[in-house]
Amino acid sequence: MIAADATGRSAPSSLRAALLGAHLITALVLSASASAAEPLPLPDFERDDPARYGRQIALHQDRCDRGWVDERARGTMTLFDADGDSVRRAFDRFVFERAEEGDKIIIRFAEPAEIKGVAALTFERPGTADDSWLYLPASKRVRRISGANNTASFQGTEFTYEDLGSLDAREYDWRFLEEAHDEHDSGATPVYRLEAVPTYDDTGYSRLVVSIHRQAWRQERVEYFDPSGRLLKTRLSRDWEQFHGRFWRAREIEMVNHQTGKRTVIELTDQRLDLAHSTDPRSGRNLRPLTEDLFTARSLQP
Amino acid sequence: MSLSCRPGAPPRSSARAVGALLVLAVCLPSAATAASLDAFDPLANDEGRFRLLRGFVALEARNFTAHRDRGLANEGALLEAEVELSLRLNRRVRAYARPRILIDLARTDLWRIEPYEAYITIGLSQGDVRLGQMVESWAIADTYNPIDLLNRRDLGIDLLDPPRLGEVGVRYRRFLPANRVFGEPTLSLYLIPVFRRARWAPEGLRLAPVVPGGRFDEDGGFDPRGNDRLFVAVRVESTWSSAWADADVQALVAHGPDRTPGLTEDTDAVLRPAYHGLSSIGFGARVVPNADVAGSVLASLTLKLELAYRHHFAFEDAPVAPPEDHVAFVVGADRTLYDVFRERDELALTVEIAGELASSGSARRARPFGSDLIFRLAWRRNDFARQSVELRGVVDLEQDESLLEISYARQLRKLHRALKMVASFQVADVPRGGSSFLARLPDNTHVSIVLRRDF
Repeated sequence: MIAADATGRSAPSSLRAALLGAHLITALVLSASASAAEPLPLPDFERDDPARYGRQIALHQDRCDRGWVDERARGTMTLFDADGDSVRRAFDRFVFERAEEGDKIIIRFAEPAEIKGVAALTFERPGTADDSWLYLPASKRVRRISGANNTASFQGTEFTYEDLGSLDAREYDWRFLEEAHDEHDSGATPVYRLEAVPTYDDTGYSRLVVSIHRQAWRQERVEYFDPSGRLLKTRLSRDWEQFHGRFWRAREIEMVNHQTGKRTVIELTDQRLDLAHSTDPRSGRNLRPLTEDLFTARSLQP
Repeated sequence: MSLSCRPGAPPRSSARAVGALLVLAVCLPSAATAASLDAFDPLANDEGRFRLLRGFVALEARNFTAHRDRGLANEGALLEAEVELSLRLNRRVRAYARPRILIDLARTDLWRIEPYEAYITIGLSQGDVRLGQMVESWAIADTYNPIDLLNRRDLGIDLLDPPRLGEVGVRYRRFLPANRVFGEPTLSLYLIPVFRRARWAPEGLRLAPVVPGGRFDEDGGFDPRGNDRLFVAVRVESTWSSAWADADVQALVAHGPDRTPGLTEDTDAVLRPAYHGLSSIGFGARVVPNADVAGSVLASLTLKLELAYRHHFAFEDAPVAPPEDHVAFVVGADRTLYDVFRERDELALTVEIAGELASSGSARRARPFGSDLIFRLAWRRNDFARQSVELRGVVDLEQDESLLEISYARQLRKLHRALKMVASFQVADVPRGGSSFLARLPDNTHVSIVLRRDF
């Protein structure tokens, strides 16, 4: 019996874990990102119509983060319960950008030891369920996975499947609320505050309130309200880093559940975007770019 | 699909063809390719260094609760360790090893010290070549897979999850051009010239087959000789996309010694394993229906199918007749439910049916019963201790036979963050003297406690 690793024997749960990790970390990081230098020309905002104005802002923020080609990063995900107890997971992530068809993502877990080596591949498909595969080292198998339950939690984290794609501007009714300043330790951030109401059926939220940086065009904060209208969670993106003078990435993303006191923190290190134009700190040479043909199920196996 | 290897073809000609292809592939001038995740990590800096990918040490205590005082080992203490090592020699060549040690501390005659895997992989421009001892799963379903033909099993450790044993040979893969329907088609050729036996438990242990008043002789069985030892296979796999479903599909043709031997009994009541030949052509698919077309209920399932035609043949001087030719199949589905008993928990359900289209029972050698219903219910609490409960089993509804296991697992975080405990209870409800393989074993109902440290 002990020859059969628990990772392999409890495959479906492990599948969910790794797969959601792939979705989660990538979607969060990309949604908490934007470009600043060489800004895109602003659309002719229709400020008199809160619905149109809100949607224009959301779509413009989405357009600002296009063109980073490929990305890799290392990171950790730490879960805290209400008493302060915590567990940590570590991962490597590779992303290949495909603007219209959806990105291709590979994530490989490095910690905890129980899921070390588990790797997931996801082809994002806008408007429909993603294609997803998972490699389980214990069983030496790559398996295709079915679509996820949108409102389910990821192994006790404060993130749900829905949070992954929740800020696709095309899936919400938007409304501009106000121009405001988000107060935090390092000062105040000027933001557009928008309300987003999901237009799809399988949702756990009645509405979201999204704060978008007015100059950097990045999502600073998202508040999630439950079906009864009570504030459920807040997602905060912090410690921003800019790449190639354009693309912003948060090095820390925190999701706080106000109703349970639990929270989950994602921290990212060694981020690189547009690898062909990024430098290896050890050799000083440019990194090899990721190519689309590397994002295959067979790549998951050692 | 055009495959050159037909069932029943003499192995010598197949071997020549495959060997020629392999030599051609290796000799072709080619650029480096990165067929694995490790190979294309642009920040990886491990060239020329061994990397420990993962490993574990586990200690399992077993206590068999039935059929005691029959001269059999009623207790077991299995110490097992395994590591995965990787060595990247350059951008094209990577070595990999997975040595394993397993010793029954209560019975020192049960020990396994061997590499599960030890091979090198050479990247080619549109494929790769792997040489050495390898383990590969061709399975779609969870168990009793008629298309999973490559690796023999260690039948002396666990009845529900017999570990795969490495096979020594060569694998050549060719990555074929993809399109919108077939996502990443891959042609694989296998040449396994080294024959190895399935492993059994030593005589006197609970999992060793026995006959009344007789004994089991693992080493004295009948093996194939000469070219009969060769295993060759051609396999095509791909992703497949359509409006109503997406799938992983594969087809294969294989020829060589069958993975699972039969058992022969001589006049002295000595039971021995005996191998026979197998030519097989098979197909498998793992399908995820599209919610827009199939509906949300069907789209929540993952559907599985394995189908294989199996032509068995006897080797020269074989002491036992091979099973009759037949079609073997497994069909099933997986589904995961959320927030079932508690907030954020998960319940994964698996149901499969395995069987054969054959006129006699000789075909069902690889399975325990006549018509098997395989199920698994895996509940995960999703808390910090990663608690889980799993019930799984194989049931023959017609014959009222079953093999069931329930287990509870959790991390022992207060002792060590990577220490895990698994407690399980396995019960085999099988009439003694019946026709199934399990009927040759004593009642191996047992309880088990495992402590496992992953690293």
